[in-house]
Amino acid sequence: MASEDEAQERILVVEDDADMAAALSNACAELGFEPVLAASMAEGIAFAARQPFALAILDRMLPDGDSADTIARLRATGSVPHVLMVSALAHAGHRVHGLDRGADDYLAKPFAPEELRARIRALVRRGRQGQGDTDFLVFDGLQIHVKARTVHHDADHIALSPKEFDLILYFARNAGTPLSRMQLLEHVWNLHFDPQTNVVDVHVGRLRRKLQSQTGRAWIHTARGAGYWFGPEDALG
Amino acid sequence: MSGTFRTALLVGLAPLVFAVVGVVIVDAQLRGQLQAAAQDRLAAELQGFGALYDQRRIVALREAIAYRAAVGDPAGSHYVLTDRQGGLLAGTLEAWPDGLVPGETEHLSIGGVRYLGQAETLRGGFDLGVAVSLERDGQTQKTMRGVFAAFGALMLGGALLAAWLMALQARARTARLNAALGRVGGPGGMAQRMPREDPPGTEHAALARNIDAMLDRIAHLFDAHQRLGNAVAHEMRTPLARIRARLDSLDLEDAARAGLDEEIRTTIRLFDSLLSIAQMDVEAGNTAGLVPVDLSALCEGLIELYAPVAEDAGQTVTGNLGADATILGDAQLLSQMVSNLIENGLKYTGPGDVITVNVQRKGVKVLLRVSDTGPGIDAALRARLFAPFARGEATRAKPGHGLGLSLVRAIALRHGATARAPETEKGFAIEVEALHFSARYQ
Repeated sequence: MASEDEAQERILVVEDDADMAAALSNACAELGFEPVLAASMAEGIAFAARQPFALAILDRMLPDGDSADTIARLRATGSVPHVLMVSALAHAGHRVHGLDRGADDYLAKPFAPEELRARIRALVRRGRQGQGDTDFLVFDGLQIHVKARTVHHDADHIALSPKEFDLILYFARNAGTPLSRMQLLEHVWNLHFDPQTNVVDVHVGRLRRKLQSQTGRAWIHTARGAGYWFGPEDALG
Repeated sequence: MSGTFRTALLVGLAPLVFAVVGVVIVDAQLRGQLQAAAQDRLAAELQGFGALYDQRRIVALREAIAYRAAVGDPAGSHYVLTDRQGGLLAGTLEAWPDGLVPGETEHLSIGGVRYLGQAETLRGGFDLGVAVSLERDGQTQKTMRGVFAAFGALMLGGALLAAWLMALQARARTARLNAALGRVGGPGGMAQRMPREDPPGTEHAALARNIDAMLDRIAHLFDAHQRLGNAVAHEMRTPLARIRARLDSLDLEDAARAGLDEEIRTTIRLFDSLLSIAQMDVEAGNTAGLVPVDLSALCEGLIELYAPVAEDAGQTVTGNLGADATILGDAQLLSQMVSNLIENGLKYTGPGDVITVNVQRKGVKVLLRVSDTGPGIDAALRARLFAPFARGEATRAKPGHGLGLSLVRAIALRHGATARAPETEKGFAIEVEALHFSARYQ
């Protein structure tokens, strides 16, 4: 059995469409992971039985059926801590079904490569850090109290609305990782559709300006083509 | 009174009317026959007595009448004989009956009984009167009428009963057919078929067969339409995904890439909307997978989401959210519906305008109303507002595909709710009326 460190470097990609498989593999490689390609769920499960992975990216409709139905078998190998499902079945019902069956995240095809990279990063990061039970997040003088739902910069309290707090908390838990607008909408507002207006940009812009005016420095940055990332300027992961 | 009952009653009563007419004719005939028989009897009696007088004179006639008076006539006839002065010579009566005139046939009443009488003056100047009783004829007629009336009543009763039974059967059959047709409009209704309760070859069996054939055809078209819609939407995603992936490997300027990305995103949104509308149509009215959703709380979240966007454009999004507005729904779909309505308001109004989200419980219903103070729409567009790709002339310049309100209506239908665009004094409004959660279980 390979070591845990090696596992952190590998991503299992199960996709039967050659072009899509190449795009998924490229995204993994660009993020510094080694993609291991399987063309069917059976093959993917066989790979997972031999070695651990940091993440599995599954296409939904595979030659051997709906992969949502076999996520449990893949999980049972104990080698796949996180599953990102990628599918042309993009209806809200499909998404919910995929998540219910055990996928950690669901990305509808077609997707922007940045969106895919953001999702991969967030999931791998979650695997590395574990889900934060931490009550206290600190970034260079910016302190976030999770239970008390307050934010301070040094000794100054920064007044935030409940939604602004949810937003900064999600950013802070993924500090240094670019987050897409869809990711923010899904995790902060629990909305799984693409609105026509730039709602996310407006909310992020307001929080960004509020933090900047009260701390005198930038905390939320635009990630080119992808969305936004949070942290001190030099902290982009 | 049902239509079937009326028809059956008419069919039952028509022979009865003919029977009554027949009885009236027979009755008149019988009365005539009986009268003729009485007259014949009278004529025979007078002829007999006349002959006796001619052959054996007054003494024999007087004795014959006296004998009749003494013995009595079994048919109850009366006889009276007077002399030239009117003195009674013999008879069953004390005096010449009133109204009896020689040479005439008259209806008489003697001792309260009806008689037919006739008198004749014999050659010697004697008056002879004979009256035959009509009592038995009357009895015969009365009995006959009674029998006919009894049969008539039986026929009437029979017609009413038959009409009632036929109506009952027809109504039950129509009710079963109606119930089956009603279920066609409900969840999974396309699989519904008509009940087969008649032997093949009857017109009702043919009707059920024809309705079923029609439903088969509709279901087939419906299914083909769904499959095509789904296939187009799904199959377009894969090439678009490839285009997007290859776009990444091209050496493009950021602005150009962003523009192409936005085009792809818009196209996907169009497919998503079409796919969602098709999906909603299939699931319309089906409550499986729906959970209680507080519509007011959901709208409050969305107002909060859109308020800053509106504020940046000089508009206002506000709410009037009543308590107790829980409906059975899918929170994601309902969010998308309300979000579409708010975005519509933001898109088609200008700075200074207000978009109001109103949620109120009205009895067993919950009414959602999203209204704005914008320019409103013209009547021509109002009629086809919920049709896919419907766009007003004035709004052609705005981005979008005209699917927003189609999706709103589809999501409303998915929840068994109705969406409408009520007339407004100013601006524009869409109302969605859904059943309150509690009403689902009453």
